[in-house]
Amino acid sequence: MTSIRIHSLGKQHGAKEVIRDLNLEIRTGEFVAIVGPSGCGKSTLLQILSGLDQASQGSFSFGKKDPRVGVVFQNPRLLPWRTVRENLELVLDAAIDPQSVEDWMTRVGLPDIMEQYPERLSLGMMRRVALARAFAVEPDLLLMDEPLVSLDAPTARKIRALLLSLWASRPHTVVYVTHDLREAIELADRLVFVATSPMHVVADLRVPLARGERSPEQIESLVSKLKSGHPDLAPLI
Amino acid sequence: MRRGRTDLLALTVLLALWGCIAGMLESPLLPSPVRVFEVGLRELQNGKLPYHLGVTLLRLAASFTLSMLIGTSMGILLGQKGSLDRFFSTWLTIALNIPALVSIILCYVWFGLNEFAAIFAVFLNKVPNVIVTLREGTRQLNRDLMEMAQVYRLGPYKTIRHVIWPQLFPYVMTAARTGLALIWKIVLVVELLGRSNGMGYQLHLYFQMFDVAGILAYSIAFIALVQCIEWMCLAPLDRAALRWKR
Repeated sequence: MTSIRIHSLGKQHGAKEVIRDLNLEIRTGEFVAIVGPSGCGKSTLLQILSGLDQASQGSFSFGKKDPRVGVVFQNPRLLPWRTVRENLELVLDAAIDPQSVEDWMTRVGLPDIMEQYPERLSLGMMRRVALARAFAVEPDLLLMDEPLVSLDAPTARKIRALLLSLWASRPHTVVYVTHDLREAIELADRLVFVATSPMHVVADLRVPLARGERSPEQIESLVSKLKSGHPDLAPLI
Repeated sequence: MRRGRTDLLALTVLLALWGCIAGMLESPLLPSPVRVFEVGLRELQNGKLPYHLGVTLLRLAASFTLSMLIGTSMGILLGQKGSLDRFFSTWLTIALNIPALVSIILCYVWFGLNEFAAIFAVFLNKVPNVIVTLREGTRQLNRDLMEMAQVYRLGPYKTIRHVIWPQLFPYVMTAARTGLALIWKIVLVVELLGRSNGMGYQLHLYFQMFDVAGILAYSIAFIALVQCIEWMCLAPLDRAALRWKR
């Protein structure tokens, strides 16, 4: 597990300023949701944290040196020409037993599709395979970029529950990017609200509900409480 | 099976048509299929056909391998490096537009009437084509999957083998197919102009003697051989590599 310290981070794409002066500390083992409208630069932040892009200003550092990072992208990004098993085994480093991929596939509820090619799976199944892949690398840090977008509501609900049980079985730091506040409340310890152009932090709150009490009604009442208590958040919710 | 039957029917009709026209004309300029078959058999038995066919095949294999290896590497390089590509795209356009005959003649003039010049001339005609195809393939590489490979630290070997190669494979196959079709035609011209063996030389000989049966016998043997390469090598490769497709 690792902590993350982001220090006055900024990013420009050409003339466009995407992120401005972002400061954020994420503790070891914390599940943080970054909530903001689509296209506000959340994905860019994840790209920077995962090393796919570079910050223009400022810096970030991990508490653990060279942490193992698992990433779940918006689209599943499985190799279509490799079977599910091959997709998972490919990302493991030598220290991890290849047999463990079967274990992870069982935990995401798909033990029988190991030898199938991704093109034959539904989007929901591909998402679960992508989730299994991220957990299989035994990450210190899990970065998730709207991993449930464009799923139907029951499937999304199932995968959220799955994600929580996986996370509970093997705790690690999670940064979860979403535009869906209800999803964020259900999953996270902490909500970081960001506003757009350029992206900056508007509010940083703990979720005041214990993990056992996050029923749809409780979540709904927290949403309306947030709306009335924080007028500046209203456009983001 | 059905496909095979249709092919057989089409071939039979073609042969019958040819036989009818040849029978009506009764001219040595269009010998009947039977006559051509007899000539082919004779050349097979006296060993000339296998010899010349073999020589041409060797030239074909050498120039094909060379152009595929060099063309693929160059194509991948140009597909990745925009600045190199901008520079060399003019060269490529020129190379693609040089008539085959010109490059063949120039190779013979510059390097002499030898084996190197012959193979190099064929290579020159094919390689721009491979470069352009593979450059396109490299440009189409899926960025999402490359990013996945990077964040999961696949390393260069795994990335090339599992992420890049499967995406380039269809382009390599296209280059190989069009390559085979182009090269075997050019090899004949190269042989006709400056070699003293091979199919091209032999066709030239029969042309001077106005022996159409000989020309047809050699051509058909060669076409059949090239088709066999397609059936026995390229098609199974295709099937093996594309089994993941829905």
